[in-house]
Amino acid sequence: MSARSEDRIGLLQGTLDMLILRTLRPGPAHGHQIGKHIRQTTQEVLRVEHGSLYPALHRLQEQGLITSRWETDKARNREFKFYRLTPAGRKRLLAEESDWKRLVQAIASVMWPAPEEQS
Amino acid sequence: MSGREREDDLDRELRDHLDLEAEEQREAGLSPAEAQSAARRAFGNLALTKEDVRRAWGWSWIDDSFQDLRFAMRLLLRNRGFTAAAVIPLAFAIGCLACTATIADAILFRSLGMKQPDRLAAIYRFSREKNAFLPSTAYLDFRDVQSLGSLVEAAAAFARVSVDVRLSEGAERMNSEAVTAGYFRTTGVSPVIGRPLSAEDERPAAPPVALISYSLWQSRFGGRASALGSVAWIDGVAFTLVGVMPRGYEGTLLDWAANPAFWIPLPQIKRMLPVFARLNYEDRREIAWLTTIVRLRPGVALGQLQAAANTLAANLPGRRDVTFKALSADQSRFFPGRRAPTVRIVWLLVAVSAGALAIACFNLANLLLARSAARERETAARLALGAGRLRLLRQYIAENAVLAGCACVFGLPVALGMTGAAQAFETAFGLSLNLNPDPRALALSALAGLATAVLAASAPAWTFSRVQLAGAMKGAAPGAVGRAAKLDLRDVFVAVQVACAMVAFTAAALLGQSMRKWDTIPLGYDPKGVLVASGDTLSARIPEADREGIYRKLLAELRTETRGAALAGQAMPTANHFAADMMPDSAAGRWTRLIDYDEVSDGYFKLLRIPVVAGRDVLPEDDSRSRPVAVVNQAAARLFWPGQNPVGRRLKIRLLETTDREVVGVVADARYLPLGDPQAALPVVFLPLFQNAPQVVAIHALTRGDPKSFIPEFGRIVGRTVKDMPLSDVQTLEERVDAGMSQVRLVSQAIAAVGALGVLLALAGILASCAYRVAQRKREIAVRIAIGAAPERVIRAFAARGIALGLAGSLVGLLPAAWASALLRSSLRGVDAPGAILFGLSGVVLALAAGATAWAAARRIARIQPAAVLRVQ
Repeated sequence: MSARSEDRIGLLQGTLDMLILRTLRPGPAHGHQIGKHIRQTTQEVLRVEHGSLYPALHRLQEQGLITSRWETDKARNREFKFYRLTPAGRKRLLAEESDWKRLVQAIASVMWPAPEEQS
Repeated sequence: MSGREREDDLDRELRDHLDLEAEEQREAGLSPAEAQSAARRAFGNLALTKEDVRRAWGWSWIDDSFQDLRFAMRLLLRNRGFTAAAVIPLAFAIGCLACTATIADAILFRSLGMKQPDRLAAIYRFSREKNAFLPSTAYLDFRDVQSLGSLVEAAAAFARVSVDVRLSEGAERMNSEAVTAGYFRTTGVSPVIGRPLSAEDERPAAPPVALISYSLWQSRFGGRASALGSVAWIDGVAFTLVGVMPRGYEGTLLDWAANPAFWIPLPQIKRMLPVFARLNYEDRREIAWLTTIVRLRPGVALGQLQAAANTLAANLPGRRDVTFKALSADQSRFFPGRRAPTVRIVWLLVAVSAGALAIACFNLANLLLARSAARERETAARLALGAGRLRLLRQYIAENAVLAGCACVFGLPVALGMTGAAQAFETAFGLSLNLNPDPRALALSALAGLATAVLAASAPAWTFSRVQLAGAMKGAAPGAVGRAAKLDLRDVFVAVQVACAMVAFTAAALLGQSMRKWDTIPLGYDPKGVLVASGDTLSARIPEADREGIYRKLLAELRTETRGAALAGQAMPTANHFAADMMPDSAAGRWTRLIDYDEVSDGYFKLLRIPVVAGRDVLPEDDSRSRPVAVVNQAAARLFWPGQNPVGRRLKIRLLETTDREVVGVVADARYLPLGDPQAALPVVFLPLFQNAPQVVAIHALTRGDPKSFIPEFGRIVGRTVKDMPLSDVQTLEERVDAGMSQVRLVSQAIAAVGALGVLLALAGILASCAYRVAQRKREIAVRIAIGAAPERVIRAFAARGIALGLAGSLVGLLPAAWASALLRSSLRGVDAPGAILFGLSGVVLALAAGATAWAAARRIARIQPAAVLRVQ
């Protein structure tokens, strides 16, 4: 456990919202699934503190970016609170994605300059 | 979604999460129990997460406050003893304050219904020689003031006259105001229906018209407009009602007997009281019987009016002594000389209730400190579970807000009850006050109560910031040996409580002592068995010429049924004496201003058992046909003829007509004023009643048995002798003497109540403080006893601290106590100078009571079982 925890990266402020929105793009999911999905798709590099996941979900809902509904999970035959994107949420995700891309590119161009400039 | 549903929703969501997590852990091979705790570990602080989620909801602040309040309510309900101890004194103090604020507001601030009162002023005569206001102005003074047209927009003169009114059936005494036509323009009061009085109504031949008060309109005419045009018989004259005054308007003065029910044109007084027809008061400067009020032109300052009045006074023929003084409207709610003592007693009552509030404040602070100490562990636990300190502080503030709110709610009935009781003390103020529940006063008191609670809460509040997590959780604090010896805040508060109690206690003792003194000081007359009533011959339509005969008949009838009867112009003691300018033959042409006089019948001094020390008593033969004589008291003899025998000397008295009288006797001094000093008795001159028969007489009867049970018989005798004469103020002379004490009694009862509360709370504070200390140091005590200390010695050591607190508090309280009694003496007539013995005794009594309480609290040490205590800890 301890070896792995050193590999983990703390989440940048504000990125959790974007990750949640991205996770919900394919379809609705409940809190546990969202946390698990983020953990698994990043090979456990990003591990969302459960404690901060729920306040973020409720905050996004207050902002009208996602909605929630109690729905029955067929596989478990039990009701869970499912979150799904709203149109406003989709829009926000697009904006954040492009912001993020620009940021990553900017950082990358500093860290790893293009080869022609290197020579 | 409601708050509750939302909470449930969140709980369910988080439970689902934990279930799923635990399920995963089980699949990974953990046992169910391990899986559960692993899930909880992975989640982190559940409560904190919930808090964060609630914050995301955005309305958490309101929600939290609501929760805080609910929690506080539950907590206070659970600790009923604590709640009662905190709320009851505070409710009492708030009620006290609301009551005094109502009185103060009614006396000093409540609007009397005049328009733009800042432009109103009153003009009074002022005697330079006596350095005192004179009670009234002459009609000519009013005309002079009215002529100051550049400063004065309108002026009016009026007098309150007690009248005999017949509306439909039976006669009643009511008060009326005889006013000049400018009264309505001056006060800015306009009738709700009908018309005001006009200059037309002042013509000599004008038909008599009157306006009535709103309350009379409601009670007698049912508020119907048909009241206009109906007729009221006032002192035998038929007045047509032409208007109704606005609701709540009851004259510009608070302290001129009862509120007026009628407003009539001033000249009509000549029809009602024939003596005025002959008086020619319009042209005689010396007949001063009116109150003059003016409305200033916009922008005119009171100083300008004063300057003009000075010029007027300087031009007065012959009366160098008299000047005019202009008073603003807030001053002229009272007769000028009476404002200061009234204001003083109001402030005294306010000071008493502020004292009650201070006592309640320290009591609350003390209780809260004790509780915050007791809750140290709880606080630490909550901090450890992730509560923010700020959040806890808010919770704590909510608790105090609920406490203060409860106190306000319970204070309301207290306030209403006390205000009702204060109404019974109306005579203490000599005012007719509107003491209806006063929203301003109630709001002010509620605010003061809240402020008190906040203030009291601020001391323990910062203990939160000091709570040491680790120490408190381990329970180290209660056993810490080194810490307890320090002087802590609670001790300071207890000492202050004792000091407050000391102030109230000495004040109560001082007043009690003074009241007792007044009971023992000789009155100079014996009120025992004497019944007094006031009878009015004018209401009975008895012509002035028949008065003497009626009075003689009344005396003869009464004397057959009693041990004695007598008549006087006024019954003693009274604050409102008739007074006249007098000139003894020793004074070579110099008038002495306003010496009190009274008319008395034969048998008066004998009935009251006032000794005649020289010359003779008033005799039945002293009547209008015999030569004018007078009897003086010793004080008047000393004033007019120092060191000489006054019998046989002559005395000029300037009443409506000036008479030259021979002094035929001297009577002993007595207490003429309600709280008069018998050592410095007023000079009083007594005139034979039949030489100067007044319209109203105080009928005295010395009854054979209990004077109270004689009242019906008394009424029958008077009724069969004089037809239709209304009797008023029927009371025993002892009651009358007692009524003079009502101001001292009101304040002393208020202070005694506050004093008792203060002492009780101070002792409770000491008890709680000692008990707390014993509990705190249980382990130390157990160790001491275990290694051989005698429990008695330990008890003594603890009790000593309580005694020390009591002594320290008493000492600290000494200075404010001395100040308070000085204030009492300067504010109230009839309060003694406090002696050192009083302070010393109060201090000793308090310290002893404190010691006894501390001892009682420390006794529980004897119950400590060292073995049990040490094993537990």
